[in-house]
Amino acid sequence: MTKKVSIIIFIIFISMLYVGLSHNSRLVQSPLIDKKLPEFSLPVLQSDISADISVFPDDIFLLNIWASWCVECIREHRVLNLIKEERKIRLIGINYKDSKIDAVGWLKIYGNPYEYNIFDKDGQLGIDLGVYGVPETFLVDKNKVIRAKYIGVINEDIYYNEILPTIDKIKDDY
Amino acid sequence: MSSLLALLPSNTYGDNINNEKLYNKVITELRCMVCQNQNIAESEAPLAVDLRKKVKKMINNGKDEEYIKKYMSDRYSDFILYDPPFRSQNIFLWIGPFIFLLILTFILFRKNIIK
Repeated sequence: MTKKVSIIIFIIFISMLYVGLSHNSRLVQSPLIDKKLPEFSLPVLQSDISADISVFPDDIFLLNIWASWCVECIREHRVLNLIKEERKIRLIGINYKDSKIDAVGWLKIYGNPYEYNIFDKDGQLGIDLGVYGVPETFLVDKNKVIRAKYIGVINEDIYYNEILPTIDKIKDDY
Repeated sequence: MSSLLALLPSNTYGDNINNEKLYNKVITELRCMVCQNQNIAESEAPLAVDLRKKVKKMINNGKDEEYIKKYMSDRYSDFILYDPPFRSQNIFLWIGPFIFLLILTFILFRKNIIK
C-alpha cells in the first residue's frame, strides 16, 4: 500500500517537474490580447509628422517592434521583406528606443518592408504594449484590437503556419 | 558627507521619505521581465531602468502601490508581480502546498494507525 502510494507520488512529482521544465517561462502570455491598441502621440520615422492611433489602417495589419541595436531583428528582417513582397498583410513598424540616424541607416542596408514606422525613442509606447524583448510583433484587426502577439523572431514557419491562418480566421469573423 | 551620498546608486528619492519608501518597496516587488530572476531594483537591463523611471514618475504623480502594480500587470501580465494575486488561473499555486500537506498528513496518520 505505502509502496503504491509512494510510487504514485513519485510519478506525480516527476510529471510536474517535466511540465515545469518543458514550459518556456520566457514566453509570457500578453494580457493585451483582445484589448485595443494603447493611445500614443509620437513622430513618424523619416518624416516630421506627428502620429497617433488614428494613423493605423482600418484593416488587419502587423505591428512589428524593432531596433537597429537588436541583433535578432536582422534575422527577422529577411522574413519581413518577404511578407512585404507577398502583400498578404500590411506591415507597420515601431522603431523602439533607437536613434533616428541609426534606424534610417539600418533600413537602407537591410531594406524597408514597413509602410511607415512610429518612432518610440523613449520606449513609452513599448511599455504600454508590454514589450520586454525586441523583436515583438502584434497582429491587429481593423478595429485596432490586438488579436495575437508573437515574441521573438518571426520566421517562415511562424508566418505561414501561425500568422496567415490566424488572419484567415479573423477575416472569416467579419 | 554629502558628496559621499551623491555617489550612492540613484535609487534615492529626494526629500519625500514616504515616497522613497514606497518607491523602494514597489521596485523590489516587480520582476525584471528581461532577466526574470531579478527584480527591477537589482537589474540594470534597459527595460528595468525604464520601468524604475516610470514607477518614480507615477509616485511623483501621487499614484499608490495598487495603481502602479495594476498598471504593470495590465501590460506585462501577473508574471511581473513577485507576489501574484489570487486568481482562478493560479489557484493551484496558492492552495497546492496545503493540499500536499493534507495528503501527506493523511498518509502518515494511516501508517501510524495500521501500526
